[in-house]
Order: sequence, then C-alpha cells, then structure tokens
Amino acid sequence: MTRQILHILTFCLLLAIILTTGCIASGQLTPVPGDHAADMQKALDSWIPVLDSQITEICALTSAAAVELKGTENDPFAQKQIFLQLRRDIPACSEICLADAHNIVAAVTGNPKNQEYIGHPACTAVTEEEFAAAGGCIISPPLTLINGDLGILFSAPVYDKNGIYAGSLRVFVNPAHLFSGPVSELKKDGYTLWTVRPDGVQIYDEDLQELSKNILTDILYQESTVYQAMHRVTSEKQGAVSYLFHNVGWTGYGQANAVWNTIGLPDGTEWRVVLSDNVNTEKTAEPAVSHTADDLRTFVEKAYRYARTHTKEDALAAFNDPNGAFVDKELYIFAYDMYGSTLALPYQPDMIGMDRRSGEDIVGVKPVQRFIDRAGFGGGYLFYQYPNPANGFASELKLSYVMSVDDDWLIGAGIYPGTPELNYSWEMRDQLIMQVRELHYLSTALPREELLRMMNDPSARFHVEGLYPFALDAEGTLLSNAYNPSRIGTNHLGYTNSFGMSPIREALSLCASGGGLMYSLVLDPAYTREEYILMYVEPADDGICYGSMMVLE
Amino acid sequence: MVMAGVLGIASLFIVGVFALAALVGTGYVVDKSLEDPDVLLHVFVVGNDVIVTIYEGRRVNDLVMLSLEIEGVVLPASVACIPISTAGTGEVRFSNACSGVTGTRDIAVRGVFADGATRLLKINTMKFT
Repeated sequence: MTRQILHILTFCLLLAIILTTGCIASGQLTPVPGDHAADMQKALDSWIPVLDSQITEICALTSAAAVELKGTENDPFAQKQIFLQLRRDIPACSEICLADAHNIVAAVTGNPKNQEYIGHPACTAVTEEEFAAAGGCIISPPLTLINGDLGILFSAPVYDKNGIYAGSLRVFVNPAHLFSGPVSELKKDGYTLWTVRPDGVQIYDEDLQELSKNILTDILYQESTVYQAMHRVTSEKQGAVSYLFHNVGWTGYGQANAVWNTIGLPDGTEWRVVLSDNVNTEKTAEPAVSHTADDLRTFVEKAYRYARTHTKEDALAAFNDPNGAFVDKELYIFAYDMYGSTLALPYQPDMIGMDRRSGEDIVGVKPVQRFIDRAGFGGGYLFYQYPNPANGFASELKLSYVMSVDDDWLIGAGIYPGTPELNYSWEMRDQLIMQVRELHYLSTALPREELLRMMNDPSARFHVEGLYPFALDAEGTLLSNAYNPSRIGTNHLGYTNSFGMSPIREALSLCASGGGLMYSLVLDPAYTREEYILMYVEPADDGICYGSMMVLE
Repeated sequence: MVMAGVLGIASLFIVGVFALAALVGTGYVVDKSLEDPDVLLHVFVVGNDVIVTIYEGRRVNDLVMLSLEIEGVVLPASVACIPISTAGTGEVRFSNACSGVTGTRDIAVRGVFADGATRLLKINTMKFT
C-alpha cells in the first residue's frame, strides 16, 4: 500500500516537474537590448506632450462652453450654436449632450434619432460635489453612449443665471480619434499604443473591443508574465517591462516589450500611456493571390445564391467553415446583421455575435456601418482601410463587395486591390472634419445664400489648401463645389464611378444617418482620371448636406 | 342554376384559401408567392438606374419580361417594362428608373412568363439616398 502511494507520489512529482519545466520554457523572457528600449522610450516620450495638450485643450474648451451656457436654459438656439462651435473645435468629439442637475438629458446634438433621448437619464450620473472635487472638468473611462458608440466623456458643470448648479455639459470623445495621431505615426516604426488608468481600466487599445476592460482582472491578462507586467504598468508612473502576449493580428505569441509614461489629467486622475512592440511585421510566406474586382463580385454572388437557396443557419454554418467552399485563402465571406452584429467571420470565430458597428479604420471610416449602408442600396463595392496580413498587417485600402441577403442581414468579401499609397495625415483629416463642422455652425449663423457664396469664394476664411468643401441639397443638386465649380447647380444623383459606386447618393445617405467619413473614387476636375478621395459630411438643420473632401493620391 | 353552381364553387375556393391562411398564418400565402425559387434575383440601385440581376431558377428560361415599381414614382411603361430578349440569367438595367428618386422606398419586381402569367418576384425596401 505504502509502495503504491509512493509510486503515485513519484508520478505526480514527475508530472509536476514536466509541466513546470514546460511553463518555464514557454515563459522565458530574453533581455531587451538597451538601445531598443531607449528608442521605444524616445518614441513614446515625443508624443506625451502632444496627448497631454490635446486632453488639456478639450477640458478647457468644454469648461469654456459650459460657462457660455450660463443663463441659456430657455434659449435652445443659443445652446445649439455653442454645441456646434464646440464640436467644430474638437474634431475627436462625436456628440455633445446637456444634462440637467438630475442627470436627465436636456439637449443633444447629432443624428435626429438622438433627440428621442431627451428626457431620459444620461448614460452616467455626475454631481456638483464631484465637479468641485475634480476642480471643474471630469474625464470618464470609455462609456457606451446613447447611440451605442463607445466614448470618453469630458464633462463640465453648467450654472443658471443665478449661479445655481443646473447640470452638466458632456462632450463625448472618440478614443480612436483622440489617439489616431500617435497611433498612425508610431505604427510606421513598428509600435503599437495603448492607454490604461491606474485602476486597470483600458482607455484606448487598437482593438476597440478591449476598451473599458480591466487589465488587472480580465482573463486575457492572467498569464504570469502579463499579470506581473500589467500590475507594474498600473502601479508605477514610468518604466519598461517585457511579457509574453499575442501579437497584433493574433497570428503569433511571443515576447512583447513595453515602455510607459504617465499623463496627469486636469481632473487629478492619471492615464498610463504604453508603447509596445508586439506589432506583427511578418509577411505571409505565400504571396497574396491577386483577385480582381470581378472575381470578388462573382465570389459574393455565389454566396448570395447559396444563402437564398438554403436556410440562414445552413448558410452561416457554410460561411463560418474555414475549410468550406466560401473561404479561398484571403478571400472569404463575412456576414453581419443590419445592426452590425457579426454573423460570419471564418478566421475570427470569437467575433461571432459581437457588435462591430462602431469599429473604425485608421482614419475613422466605420467599415461595418458602410457595409450596412451599401447593402441598403442592394449592395455594391466600397472602400475602407484594413490591416493586410500579406503586408505585415499594415493598413491598406481594401475593396469589398457586399449584398443584402434580405432586410435582416448582409454578406460580403474583400480584396486588397493594390491601390497607390494613400497620401494623407491625421492633421489633414482633422482639418477636413473641422471645416465641415464650421460650415454646419455657419449654416445656423448666416443666411444660406451668403454661406454658399462664401463656399464658392476661394478667399473665404474657412478654405484650406487641399480641401474641397461642397453642399448638396436633399435632391442631390450641388449647391457649392470647390473641387469643380462648373458642376454647381447640376444634379449628380446619377453619377457613378468605375466601380459602380454612386458617391452622391452614398454621401446623402451618410448625411441622413448623422454624417461621417467615407472613401470614394471620383473624376478629377479635368475629367481625365479617377482619384481616391476621403469625404466627410454632416447634415444641417436647413436640409443641406455639408461636406468636404481631400484627394488621397 | 349553372351560375349558382359557379358561384358556389368560387365561394368554396375562397373559403378554402382563407381557411388555409388561418391555419398556417396569412404570411404563408404572401411568402410562398415571393420565396419560390422560380427566379432568383437581386435588385441594386446604381446611379439613376435600377439593375436587376437574375441568377438562377426553375422558370428563368420562361421569363419574357420584367416590370419595376417604385413606391411613390410613376414610371413610364418604356422605363418600367423591359422585355427579356434572350431568356436566362444576367443583368436587366432599368435605365433612369430612379432619376430624382431619394429617400427609402419599397421597390417591386414582377416577371411575365411565356404562359402569360405575371408573378411578383421580389419586393424590397431600398435606399435611394
């Protein structure tokens, strides 16, 4: 008996040694060369003052607007003008909301549907005492906004004409937009950026699904080296650490090295801004198969026929099968419902059921929203940027073809057509948004004819070199067009490009859903060739869709 | 007497149809007429044109004409009806059918078959802007 127990104990001991050795072997970290760590620290530190001043400015602008709102409680027009100016000055701002002292929504900007939330409780409650403790502006972790998007909330107290606390002005800032400058620049050097609060709540991550998760408690971060690293990052203001983690794109697992620094926020809290080098720069061994736009369409049409002649369950099972007929290496069928929930994604089964409507590309275009919008027209081609596995996961312009299967869901697929390198900067993207928001604001301050005249006058103050503002009426007639003034007064609903896209119909549709960014391809003013463009549009109260575009080549 | 007989048979037929609809749900009658894979097609808005792509179906080869209806739009017959000269699959383009059409509207495609029968092939809510 004792002998048997001894055997069992010996076996358990051996097993434990084998398992432990395996863990140690897989958990070994190699020292980081000093110059690599120094390069990383230098790259990060160059962006800390930029982010710091951006956040400080947003707080200052929010607080100043809150002061301007004093005594406007019975003047919705004055309130609206203050909101529009604030949105113009903060391009990362998605929406603005005014909540009363009981945290009930009193006014809100954006999509007309947002007006339905007036009279309902705001997404989070703040009190006058909390504002006093914070010294004015409060910055929240990412919250789910009333429209379903995630946003960081900057809020400031509002007082009535008698100086009594009347509520809060809330500015929702898109974290992807806020960090887009450093992220796009640091990516060029092979780095990725993420930001976390000392309590572990993620403020920003390239994978937007990770936002608002807690890195100290989430199961994803429990491996021993990661666990220790995350605790160091959150507890120390500055440092360097290595740990084992997935690379960006989740195609490999290995050592990641990180450096971090701290930004002190105006409300007294802190953000740890972390730079890591787990960017996947490996190119796939096999060269990408070059599919054409026609191949892409044929592939999606084949899936459409399958979906229409089988049950939805059978079709989705076929689309989700990585070894099935609807996966041809980088060409695969994806499916979404019309609310953005993922139905089929054969290479990322963990994403099934996730709402990806708010996901953005590196510029701020929302691909899934664009799919849904395009499917409303029956379907067709559209562009967005997406990491290309064949090119070290660098963001490249992707061409997708989508089709609505019925009123409830859509399918599509995409290819990298090898378009010319896009020439844009995040500063120019911000200028594009600010210009359109200035037009939106001016539409409330000036007679329409005067604003249109200014838009057609290249010397008007809001013109920026390289940006081409335009205005469309609801019928698709160009009221102003700095890109090609000869087209003013003509209707362009019927205009299509070489991919069968209808840029004007799509711009009006984007306006109808509250506005945003989209790519397209349009003829140059000399009608000689098509050019890739980035467009931003917003609807104004006067029924006009104001927009601007920049050429990306 | 003959007239009464005909009316009686017609009444029985109508009662039967309603009884069936009551039994399996009124949606059955409507769905059945739309979902049958006689002609599998898809409708796209492209510029000012509406394009109907016919993919497959048991009765594709019997299709002689397509007609298009857009909610709130009166289309001239020359735009709304397109004879299908070569029966089978392919694209049918209703040129300028949605010129000036904006917003979101219902759109219907009917097929006329070689035996003279007309059937609703597709009804969709489509975006025009």
